[in-house]
Amino acid sequence: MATIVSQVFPYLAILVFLVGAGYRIGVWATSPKKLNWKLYPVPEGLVGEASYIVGEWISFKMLFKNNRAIWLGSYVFHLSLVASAIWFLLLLLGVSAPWLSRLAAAGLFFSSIYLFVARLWIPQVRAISTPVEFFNLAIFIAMGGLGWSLTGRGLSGEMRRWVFSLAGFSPSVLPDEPVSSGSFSWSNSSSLTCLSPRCSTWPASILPFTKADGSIPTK
Amino acid sequence: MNEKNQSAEAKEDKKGKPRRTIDKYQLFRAAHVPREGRVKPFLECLDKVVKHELYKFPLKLYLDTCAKCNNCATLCHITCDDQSNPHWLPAKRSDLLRKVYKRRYTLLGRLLGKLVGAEDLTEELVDEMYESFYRCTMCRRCALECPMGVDNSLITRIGRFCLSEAGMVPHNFKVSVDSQLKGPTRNTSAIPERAFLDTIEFLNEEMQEMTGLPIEFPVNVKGAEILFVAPVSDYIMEADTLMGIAMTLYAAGASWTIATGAGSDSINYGVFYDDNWLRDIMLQLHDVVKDLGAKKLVIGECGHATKAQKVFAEYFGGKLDFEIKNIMEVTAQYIEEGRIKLDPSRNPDPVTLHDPCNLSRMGGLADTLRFVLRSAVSHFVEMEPHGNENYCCGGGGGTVGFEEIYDFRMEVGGRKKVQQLRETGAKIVAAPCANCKKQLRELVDYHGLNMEVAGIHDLVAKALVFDKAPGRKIEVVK
Repeated sequence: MATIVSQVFPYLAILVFLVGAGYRIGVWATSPKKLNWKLYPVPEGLVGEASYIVGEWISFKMLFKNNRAIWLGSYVFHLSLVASAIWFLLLLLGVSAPWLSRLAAAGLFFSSIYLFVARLWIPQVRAISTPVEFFNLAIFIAMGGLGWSLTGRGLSGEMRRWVFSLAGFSPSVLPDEPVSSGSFSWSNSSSLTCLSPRCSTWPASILPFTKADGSIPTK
Repeated sequence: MNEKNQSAEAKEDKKGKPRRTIDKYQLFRAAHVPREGRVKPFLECLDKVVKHELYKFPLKLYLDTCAKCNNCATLCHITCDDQSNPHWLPAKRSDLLRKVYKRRYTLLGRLLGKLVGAEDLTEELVDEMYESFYRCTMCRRCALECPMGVDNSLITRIGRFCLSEAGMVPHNFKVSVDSQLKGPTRNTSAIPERAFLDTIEFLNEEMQEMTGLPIEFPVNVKGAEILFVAPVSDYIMEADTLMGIAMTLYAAGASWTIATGAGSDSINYGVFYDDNWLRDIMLQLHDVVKDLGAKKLVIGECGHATKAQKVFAEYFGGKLDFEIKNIMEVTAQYIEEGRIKLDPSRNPDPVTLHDPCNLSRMGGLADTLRFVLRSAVSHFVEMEPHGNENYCCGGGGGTVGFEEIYDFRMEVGGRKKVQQLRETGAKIVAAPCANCKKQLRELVDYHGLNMEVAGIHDLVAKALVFDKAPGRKIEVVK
C-alpha cells in the first residue's frame, strides 16, 4: 500500500491533472472568435489587457467593490493558496519556512469555513449553490485543518527528498506514521501540483474538472 | 423614506389607478404559447447551439466557470437593491440553462446529477425559463464586473433562442417579426407605404415651418452616401428626434436618403431571441443599402438596432462594402469637423443623459454621446453611475414591449433608474434609444417625476445654428 500511495498515485494524479488541464486549455485556445461581442471599456493592447487581468488577480477588485463579505473570505482563501505555493517552492530550494506553511494552512482553513458558512447563511448565495460547491469547500477545510495541525514537525527534509525522487522518476517510499503522512498530504496539496500521496491527491487532480466539468463532453 | 417604501406604501399611481401587486409569473400566464411538447425542440436547438461556431466557446465558458458568488446580483438593476426573489438573481436564471447543459453534455452531470447541479429538462423547467429569460433585459451590466467573466446575457439569449424553437415567443415579437419579414409593408409596425410617405410629408412641412429652410427627408435617392434608417415607430413616436436628425444632416450638407419598404425600419427583434430572424431581417436591410448604392448605413437613435448591425453584420452579411454607423457618431464627426454649429445656450435647462446599454456598455459610444450632448446644452448633469456602468432603464432586451409585465418594469426593473433620475435634479433626460425612451416616459409618468424625456437630436435641433437662416421656433414636444 505504501508503494502505491508513494510511488503510483502521485504520477497518476499528475497525469489526470495534465490531461484535464491540457484538454481544457486546448479547447479554449482553438475556439475561434467570430463575433465582435465587446463589453466596454475594452483594455487596449497586450499591456492594457495584462494590467487589467493582473490588477484583478492581485486585488479581486470586482468582488471588493460589490460584494465585500464574499471578497473577504475569497481573498484570504486565494492568498493562502499562493502562500502555500511559495512555501513549497522555498522548500524545494532548501529554505525552511514553517511559519509560512502554518499561516497558509490556517488561512485556508478559516477562509474555507467562512465561505462554507457564508454559502449556507446568505439566502441568495445558498439559492444558487449546488452540493459540489460545498463539497469543494469541505475538501479545502480538511486540507487546511490537517496542514495547520501538522506542519512544523521537522519533516521538511524528508519531504523534499521525496519530491526530488519523484521528479527524478525514482520515487522513494514514504514512512507510514500517521503524523508524517498527514504532513505530507498537506504539504503537497498546497503545491497544487497533485504530488500528494494521501487524501489531497485526488481532489487536486480533479481541479481541471470542477469549474470545467463541461470539458468532458459526452456528445 | 426610501424608494422601496415609497413604492410599497403608495396605493395609487399618478393617474389614480390602484397599484397592482407584482405577479411573479405574469408573463408566462398571459402568454399564448404551447403548454406541452416543448422539451424535444428545445433540446434539438440546444444540441445545435453548443456546437455552433459562434456560441460553443463563450457558452461553454460561461456555463462552466460560474463561481456562484452572487456578485452579478449586486450589479443587476433588478436585484441590486432587493434580492428577496431568488428567481430574479442572474446566476439563478443562468442556472436554469446550466443545469440542463450539465446533465446533457457533461460526464459529471450525467454521473452525479443534482450533486453537481445537473438536471433533465422538463416541461415545468421550460415554463420557468420562459418567465425568467424574459425578465432579464440582457444589459450585460452583470458581466462588467463578474470575477469569472461570465456573461449571463448570452445565456439568456441562448435560452430565448431555444425557447423560440419550442414555440415560446412573446406575442409582440412574433407579430412584429412576421410583419417585417412576411407582411406587405416590411416594417414592424405594419405602416403602409402611403401612410409612411404622408408622415414624411408632414414632418417636412414641420421642419420648413420651424426653420424657414427647405429641409426635407430625401426618399429612395440612389447614389446617396448615407442611407439613414430609424426604428419605424420613431416616425410616429419620436418625430422630434427624426426632425433633429434631418436638420443635422441638412446643416452638414450631407448626401443622404431614407428608404421605404424594408429600408424604412431599423428594428431587428431577432437580436433578442432568434438568430434566424436576426439574419433575415439584417440581410433584408442590407439588400436595400446595396440597391440604393449607399456607402454608409446609418442607424438612428436606437440601441438594439445598432448592436444588431455592428456585432452581427459581418458574420451574417459577409464582407460588407459599406460602413455601419450610429447617427451619434455621424453627428459627433460633423461637430468636430465644424460642419455644423451648435449654440448650447438655447438649451439652458439641466439635462442628464441615460446611457443606452447597447450604445455605451456594448457599443463603446459613451464618450461620443456626451460630446454631442455637451455641445448642445449648457447645463449637463451626469447620472451616477453613468457611461459603461450605467443601469439599464428596465425595458431593455425587448421587454419594453411586454405590457404583461408593465408592473414589473415600473416597480422592479425601473426602480433603480427612477432613483438615479431623481438624484440628478435634471429637467430633461436625454436617451438616444427608442426603447429606452418608451420605458423612461412610462417611468416618469408612473412615478410622477417632474422630467421630460427627449432624444439627443431633439436638443441638437434646438441648438443648431443655420447659416443665413431666418427666425425660427423649435420646441421639444413632450
